[in-house]
Amino acid sequence: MLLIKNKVSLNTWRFLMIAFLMFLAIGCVKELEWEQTDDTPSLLVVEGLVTSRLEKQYVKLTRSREVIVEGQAARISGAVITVSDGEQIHKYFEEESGIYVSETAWAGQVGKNYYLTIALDGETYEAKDSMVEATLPPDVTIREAELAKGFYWVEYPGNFGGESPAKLNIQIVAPRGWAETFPYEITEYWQDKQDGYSNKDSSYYIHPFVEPPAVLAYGILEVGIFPLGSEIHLTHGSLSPAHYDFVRAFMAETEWKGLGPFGYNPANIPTNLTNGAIGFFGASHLKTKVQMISE
Amino acid sequence: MQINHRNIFLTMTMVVSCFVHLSAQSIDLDTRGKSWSEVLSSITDQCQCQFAYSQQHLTDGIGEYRFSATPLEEVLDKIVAAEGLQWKKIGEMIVIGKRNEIARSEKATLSGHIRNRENGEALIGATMYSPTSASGTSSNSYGFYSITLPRGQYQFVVNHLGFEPMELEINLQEDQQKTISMKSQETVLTEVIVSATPDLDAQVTAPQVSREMISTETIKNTPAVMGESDLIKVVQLSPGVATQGEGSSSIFVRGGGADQNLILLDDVPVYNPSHLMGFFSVFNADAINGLDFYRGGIPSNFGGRLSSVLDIRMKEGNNQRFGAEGGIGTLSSRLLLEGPVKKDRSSFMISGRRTYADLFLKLSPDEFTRQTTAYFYDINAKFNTRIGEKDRLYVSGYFGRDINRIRSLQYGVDWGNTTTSMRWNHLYGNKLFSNTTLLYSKYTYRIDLSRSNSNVNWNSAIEDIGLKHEFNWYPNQKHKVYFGLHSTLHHLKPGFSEDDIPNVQAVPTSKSLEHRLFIGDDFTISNKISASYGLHASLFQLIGTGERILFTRDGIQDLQDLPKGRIYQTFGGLEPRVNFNYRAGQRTSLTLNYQRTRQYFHLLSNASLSFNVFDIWIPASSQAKPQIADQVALGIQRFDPRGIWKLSADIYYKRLKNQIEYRNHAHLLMNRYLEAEVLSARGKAYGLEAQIKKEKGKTTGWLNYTYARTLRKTAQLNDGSFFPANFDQPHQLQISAQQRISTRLSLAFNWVYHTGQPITLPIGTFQYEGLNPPLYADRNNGRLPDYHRLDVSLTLRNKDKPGRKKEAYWVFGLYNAYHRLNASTAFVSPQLEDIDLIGDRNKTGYYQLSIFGILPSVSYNFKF
Repeated sequence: MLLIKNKVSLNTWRFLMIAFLMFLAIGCVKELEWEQTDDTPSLLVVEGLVTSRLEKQYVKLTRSREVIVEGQAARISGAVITVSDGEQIHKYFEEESGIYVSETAWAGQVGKNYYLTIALDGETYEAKDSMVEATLPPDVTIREAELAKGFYWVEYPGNFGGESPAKLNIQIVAPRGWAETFPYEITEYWQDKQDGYSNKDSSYYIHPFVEPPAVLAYGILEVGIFPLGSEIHLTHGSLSPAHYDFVRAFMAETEWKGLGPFGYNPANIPTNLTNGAIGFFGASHLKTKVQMISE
Repeated sequence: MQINHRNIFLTMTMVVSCFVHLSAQSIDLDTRGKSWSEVLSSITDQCQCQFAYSQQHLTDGIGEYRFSATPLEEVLDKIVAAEGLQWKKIGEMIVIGKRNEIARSEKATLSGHIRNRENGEALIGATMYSPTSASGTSSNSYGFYSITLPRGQYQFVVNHLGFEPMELEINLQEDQQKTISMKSQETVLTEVIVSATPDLDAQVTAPQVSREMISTETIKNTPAVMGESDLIKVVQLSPGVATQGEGSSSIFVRGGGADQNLILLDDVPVYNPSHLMGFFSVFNADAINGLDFYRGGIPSNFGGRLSSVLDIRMKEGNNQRFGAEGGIGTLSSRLLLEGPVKKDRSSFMISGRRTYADLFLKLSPDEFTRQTTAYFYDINAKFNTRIGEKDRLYVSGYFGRDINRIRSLQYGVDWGNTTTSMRWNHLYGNKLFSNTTLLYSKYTYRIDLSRSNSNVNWNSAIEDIGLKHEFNWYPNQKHKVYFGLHSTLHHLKPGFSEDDIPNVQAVPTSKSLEHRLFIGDDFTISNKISASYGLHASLFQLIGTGERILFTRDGIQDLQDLPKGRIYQTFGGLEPRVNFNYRAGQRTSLTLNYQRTRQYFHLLSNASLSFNVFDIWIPASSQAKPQIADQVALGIQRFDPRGIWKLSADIYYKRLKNQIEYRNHAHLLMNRYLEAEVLSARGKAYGLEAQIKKEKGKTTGWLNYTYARTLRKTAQLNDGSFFPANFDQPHQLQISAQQRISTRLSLAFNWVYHTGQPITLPIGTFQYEGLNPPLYADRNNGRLPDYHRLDVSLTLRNKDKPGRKKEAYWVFGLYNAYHRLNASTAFVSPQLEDIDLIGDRNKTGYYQLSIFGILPSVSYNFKF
């Protein structure tokens, strides 16, 4: 079987299991029957982003829900949404239920503040974020596969030590016709084998300093194998300080969750929305560089 | 010129017959031309009495007196008073001297050490009581005792838990030194005969409250996780002690945090008593002589922590013969060697323990498991020697380490303690005992993730170098005074990276000096009332180490350069301690206690699980002010007249200032600005502790019920209202019992119940970027399910044969015998199929993590 991901990672619960109960192997997780609280709030949840790329920007509206849930959150229709930079106002329309996109493509600019206004059911919700300049993404590490000359493994940058907080997106595009020389059977993983492909799940956050729970959640991610001439597109999306506070808390309550020795105490995720809405409306400057796999 | 009894007796004149009634005897006396010596000789000849005096006072010639058939009293009044002296009949003797000298001469002191007859070990806290004089004393931490009583014939009863009571007849006519050797009840195979009610008197009048003395035997007889006897786990079975999570080595005493317990091993603080993330403590029961646990009424010689003291003593080593003790268990093996270096004079003890699960991991078919290393080891060593009659020297040390490695993940975590002490006991006369201790303590841990794309290593250390100089003074039978001075240099490195990795933020190191001055007195006011009171003064000085981060209430303010070595901030204060004991009848005593304690360090930890090795200690500062606690407790104790049963109940109220709570999502590890993550809180704790204890007979044990509330309050959380602290457990019930079925077989069990600990549970969720983060209401708004567990152990001893010196026994144990899956924590998560396997990301559920199910164990133990 072809190994296409050489992923050595560890989530927190596995860490707990292995590190602390290594030889006992007796810890277990079981579902608790818990009485659902009657106090579950129904809050407006906003997920929106303005980027520096010329494109239709989007805002997604849903509602908070009970603890024990299944499926997708209910989307909220009928809102009137605008985004302003203080000079220009961009109107959004509901492209599909709960998904609002700008009427025209537009790009945010570094140094500007962006103001979101949502009018819904007689209430007004507002948010503000500033677009800070993104830093250049780091290089990835490339090494030739031992058993397939001319093909290469790509090791993703680590999650910590970024010059500033950022969301990193990686896409690896192989040259047209690469499949002709590929020495192994092609699996489902490959996308668009004729025109190049990109790997999935290629966005993650870069943190300036080590986040202890994340240390346990993440490991080394090496993907491959890619032929010579493949292009690695690395894009950094900037995060304002408020946006990063949101991201840290969001990660602490989701991917890094686990009240182990490195865990954070549970708490609500901060928001920049007013009037009781939650979520975050962010502005992100994108900076991309392309790294070529060459000999 | 000072005169003591010895001077008097060296110079006294002796006659053979007894003195009966002074007033009934008349003498003829002419002092003209005679010396004092000749005059007293003349009196002695006529009335057959003894004189004691100092020649220094009676060097001048005597005045001219003539008496004829004059009562002796009258004669003495005249001739002695003319010299400015006094006389007094004391026992069989007439003492002539100054008023204070006579007062001293009325009494004599009995002092010495109380030891285990079999091995010469000092017995700590053994009581010595004279029912005829209703006076008593107890041995100190080195087994030393001293009691001063009017000269006379006394019967003493000496008691110590686990030892056969002793009755002593002492004719106390002059100062005496006596080593009392007690016989262990282990060697008494017949059923214990309960006869000595004087022990009851000693207990009823003892002023100590909220104190537990836990013997090695109790520790070893209590069922334990994987059969590893553990003193911390026994302390956790005391009333008023809460623990957090499954198998933790943390204790929370009367609302105090895990950092508020002063754990001393041979006078050296142990900062983290955890092996294997806290499932086991660092104290190897083989190497321990016993411990005193104070959860209230903390004597004034202890300081530095708010809530409790665990004063643990290592064995000194058998000074009579070589011996070995050890065991092979499910988890570890251990061996102790001890013996005399010079019989009756010096001895040594060395013990070691190591787990060996890692050896079995290498046999696993799974490569991942084979690449895993996990073990701990520890070594205790002690040497002591007597230097002359008045001095004794002790050197002891502990070294332990936990090693955890997963090679395939480039993951490693190590931690451990090192402690060393050198102690010198010196006796000044027979009433003043001193101990001087030089101590060193260090706790370190290291997290290492040497990954190519995100290398992380993190080290933390706390190090103490200290000096203690303490005195015990026994001026008379009513007072036992103790005073002294402690000074410690603390060096804290809350976190740094060895390789100066840029993405790991080093926390500034700190140095500080802590000085403590104390005086206290155990005062027997009357037959019914006794008191133990004292004053403890503490001073804490922060020393510059180059830089200092200044914080405001809202976060970081500035970075300040501080010259190295300069004291830049000082805290201090007084800590009064008072205990009153009132004997209400023959079998009942009432106690009232007040204590103030101060603590100049905070332990930062937001882990809600029992794993507690990644400690971050920070010194008191403007941001995290010194912790202060005031506690009032009222107790009643009622004793069974046969000394079998004891009932006690305490109520307490405690107020805590400058406690630590955390901001939301507080980032503590690897955070240079971690002090900005803390919130100042105040706390209160109150409760009722009740205990029924049976200490003698075939069945021994105790039943504790505790109602306790522990609350915290800070403006930034829960709308500024009081909320339950993480370790608030209102109801606790502990039953521990040991049943001796035969001389070879005994059964022990513990049953533990407590209310589930508080937890912050979500009240809803929302969806963002495809994930479902939770929504919370107040902090600690929910509780885990109630916790309960039964542990059972069966001990089978080898057959006793005449002449056989080797003792051996098997211990078969069941921890969590009915396999209750207690929740260590609860959380909301995407649907899980296994501990580390997410089933459906679009479904959520409440899950609990349980650590231990049923855990069988077997161990073989020996001693010879």
